[in-house]
Amino acid sequence: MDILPQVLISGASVGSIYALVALGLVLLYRTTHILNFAHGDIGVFATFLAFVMLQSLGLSYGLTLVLTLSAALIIGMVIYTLLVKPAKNQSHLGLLILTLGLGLALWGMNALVFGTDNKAVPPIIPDRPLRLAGAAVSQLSLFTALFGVVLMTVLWALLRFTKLGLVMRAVAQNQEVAKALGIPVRQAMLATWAVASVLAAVAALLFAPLTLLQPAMMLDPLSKGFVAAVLGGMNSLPGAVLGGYVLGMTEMLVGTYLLLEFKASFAFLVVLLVLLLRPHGLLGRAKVKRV
Amino acid sequence: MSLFRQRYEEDLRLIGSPQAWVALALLALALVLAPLALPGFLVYNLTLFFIYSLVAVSLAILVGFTGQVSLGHAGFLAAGAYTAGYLSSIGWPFFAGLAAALVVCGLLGLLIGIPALRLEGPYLAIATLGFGLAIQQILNNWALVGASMGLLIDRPTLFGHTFWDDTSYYYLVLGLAALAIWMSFNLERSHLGRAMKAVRDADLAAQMSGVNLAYTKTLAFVLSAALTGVAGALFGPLIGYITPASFNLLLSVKFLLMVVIGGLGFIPGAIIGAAFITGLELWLAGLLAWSQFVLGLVVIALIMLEPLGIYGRWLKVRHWWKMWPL
Amino acid sequence: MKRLLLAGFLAVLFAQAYAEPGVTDTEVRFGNWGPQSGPAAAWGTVTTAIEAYFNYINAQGGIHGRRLTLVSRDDAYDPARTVSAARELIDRERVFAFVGGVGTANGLAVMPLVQRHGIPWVSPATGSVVFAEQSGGLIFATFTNYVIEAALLARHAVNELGVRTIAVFFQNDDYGREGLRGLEEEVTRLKADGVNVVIRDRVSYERGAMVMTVQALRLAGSGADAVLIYSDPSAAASLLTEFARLDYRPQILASVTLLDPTLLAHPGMQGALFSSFLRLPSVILGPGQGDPIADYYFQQVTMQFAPQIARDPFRAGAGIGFAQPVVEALRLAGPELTRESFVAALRSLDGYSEGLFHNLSFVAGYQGNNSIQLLQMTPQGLRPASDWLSF
Repeated sequence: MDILPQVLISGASVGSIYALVALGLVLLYRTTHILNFAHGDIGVFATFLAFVMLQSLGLSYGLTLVLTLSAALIIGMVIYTLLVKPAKNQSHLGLLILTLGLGLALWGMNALVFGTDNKAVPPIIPDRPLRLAGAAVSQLSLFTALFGVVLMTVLWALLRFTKLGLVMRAVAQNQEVAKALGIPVRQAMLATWAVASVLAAVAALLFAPLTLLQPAMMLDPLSKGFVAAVLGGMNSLPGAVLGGYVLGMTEMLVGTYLLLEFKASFAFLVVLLVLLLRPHGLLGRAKVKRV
Repeated sequence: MSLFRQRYEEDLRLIGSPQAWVALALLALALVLAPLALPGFLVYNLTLFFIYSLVAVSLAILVGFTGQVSLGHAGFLAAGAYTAGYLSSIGWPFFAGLAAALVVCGLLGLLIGIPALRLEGPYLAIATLGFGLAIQQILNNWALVGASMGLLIDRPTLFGHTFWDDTSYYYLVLGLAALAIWMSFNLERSHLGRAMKAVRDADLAAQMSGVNLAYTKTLAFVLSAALTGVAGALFGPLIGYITPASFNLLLSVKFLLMVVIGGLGFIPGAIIGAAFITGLELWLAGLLAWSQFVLGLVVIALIMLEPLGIYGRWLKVRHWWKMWPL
Repeated sequence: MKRLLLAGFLAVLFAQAYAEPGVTDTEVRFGNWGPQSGPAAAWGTVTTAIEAYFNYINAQGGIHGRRLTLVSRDDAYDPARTVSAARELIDRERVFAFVGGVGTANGLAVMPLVQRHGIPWVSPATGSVVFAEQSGGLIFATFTNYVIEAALLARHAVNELGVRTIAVFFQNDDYGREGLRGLEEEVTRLKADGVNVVIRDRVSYERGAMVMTVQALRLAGSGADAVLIYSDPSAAASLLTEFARLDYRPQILASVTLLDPTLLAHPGMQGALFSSFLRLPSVILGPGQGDPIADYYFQQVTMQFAPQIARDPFRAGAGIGFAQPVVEALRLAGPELTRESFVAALRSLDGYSEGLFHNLSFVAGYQGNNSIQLLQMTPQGLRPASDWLSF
């Protein structure tokens, strides 16, 4: 029995989760040059909120979704206003450490407020298997994959065609000069953090039904998301999605046909080799450095 | 107190002034007398602090001097601990195992350092993250070193004396750590140290000034990895039992925290950072379920209040004090 | 620094005043560690449960006029910090004995200390075989170990359910590997008895990984009748979700750590066979189905003294079960309490079944609990599938 189609499809379904996580990481990085290690924990917090709304308050799924994503938006803005903006003159490494501290604090808070026991989050659409090319595809996976691509397109259009997007691109290029030219840098950063937090929430909400919700849920997907983002290029949104799928499928292929025990290590090796050939990822662009 | 240097030698001197000599002597005395006055668990934690400060210093060399961020240093620590631990379990003498750990980790540093030349910023950071995870996974599946069941490591035996006792192992680690840190200070003051810092600040300009970029950056990786390997060789016997699961991403993050919170780019900063984090963990253990939350808050508070780290703040205070017109 | 010296001085003074550390006329102090933070933090509930049981006993006046105190430290599941915590508990807190303590690697790191200081240790909160094996007369295991559990699960599946092909999904650490060993040893025994049972595949995952797509594909490809699962609940949930997508519905055989209320509600768990070394209350088994002793302790201890952990009834019960032999041994040791008398009292326990364990006995060895009960998940909830089985 040839299981290659199944392997590829399962790999794409795993990859779609990595792609969603990577999308949020890349959006934030390309504008602010911050590696956000709190990305997973923000998502988990939002998912816990959704759980409380669904279970304790008995709200409908649609309403929960709207409220949760709005909450994520606000959280992103709060994080920027209270933590990132006041931390002036910080090196990129300092801001990375700041996100690390934020991630730890959020993780601890999630455990204290919501508990460390496992919780179940229902999927947005039922997880029914369909058949495609002789392999089983989950309805939910298809939705996740499609949603990821749609999201990527929307974000790309946002950056390309709207004024906010133009401002974000300017900030990404050179923050100092943008400030000097009177471009509203702070508004752009605020918006970026808000949207990135919403993306974090979306990724976590789509991942939670596949496993159990608990404070450490996004630690592994976050690491994979970072690797996917780097693989695709840290300043390319299509790259993030591509990187996610490539990573997912590589893991599946290596795990199925080579060694299961070392699949993560092999995937890392593949990523390293790609980076050696293309140091800025598959679709990333090199920055011009001045002396 | 003279504020301004009058001769080049003053710039190069390790101990800057008579006051610094006194401070150093007092510190040395305190460290030597500590085991006699402190309860056993504090002696254990001090020994752990010495080992962690070795890792922090090695990370300071890599991140602080050449600006290459590593999120995978737990992997080097693991490699060092396992190399020395395995060799001692088959009968190798302690110092031979230590030397082997140094060499093995140095080679690993070379292995990651050469590809690292092509990578910058986040690409390098994530590549090292992947490297750390890969080391963990390889060790977890390698039957020779116990795979996921772990490795039992005995305390070393030198000249017939086995270091079972906390105090004797404390002195052994203190001696080796002091030696390694002194060598790191010398590296900082040397031509190579200056070249490394030049690479961090403006690598193209440094290259044009005659610094061999590839050699300097790779050497930083090798030295950093080797030093962490030595720390690993000391770490194994201290705990007595190691498993790959302990050498995870959170540990690598902890080391990075030490370096940045202590003061990025300064060796004393790394040591202070290691002391702070080790002491903080000791305190947090008693807070039970609140420990992670408080840790996150402390990190946020420190990085926001003082981006230059604890040592940076100390330098500011010292400078202000020196400038006081009296 | 001064405070530490003072504390050290007082501790020495204190120790000289009373011959036995951790014991006064009014108090007995017990030490404990566990992950209160980090990925394994759910297991911190065990500590809370032990403390709840101590509070329950204290509310009744304690044992021989002594109050039971639990001193616990967070080790974030890191053996380096476990050693530090144990050192602090021995040197500064001067505990009488250890109770609980989560994690195999963590426990192994602490064993040399236990042996060197002669500290009794009751109920390591892990099912690894090493603690009873290397007890040295000090460690008393009450967690039915994984090897026995896996063997009994496999035996039941083969003899009662007619399973002939098994695959195993296991966490790549001592927990999963001991389960694997139990299965392999049992299959060897069954083959020797003429039963033709085969292990089709052995699939592992690294602890902390959340996505089990590759593993599910491998296991589904093996086509085994039954899959033995030695994993954590998150990985199991992911595996079952993937199984559903691949339309693979084997008989699930689940280790005790998977008795998680949320996981039990997963559709893939229907028909699954679980093992429990603990009596289970009605909150897990359904109204009126619970073991009366378990229900009693759930109401009187968990709900009264630690209601916040009631949503994790299995670990809440486990903590109480771990603490009960301690209290019983204190009772038997009498008012003149020393470590020797405590250890002797523990060794005299034989057929102790008033607690949450079916039958505790230390006269023959240091693995006191060798029984499990099998339960099956039905649409109405968990139902007993067997009597108490002993190895």
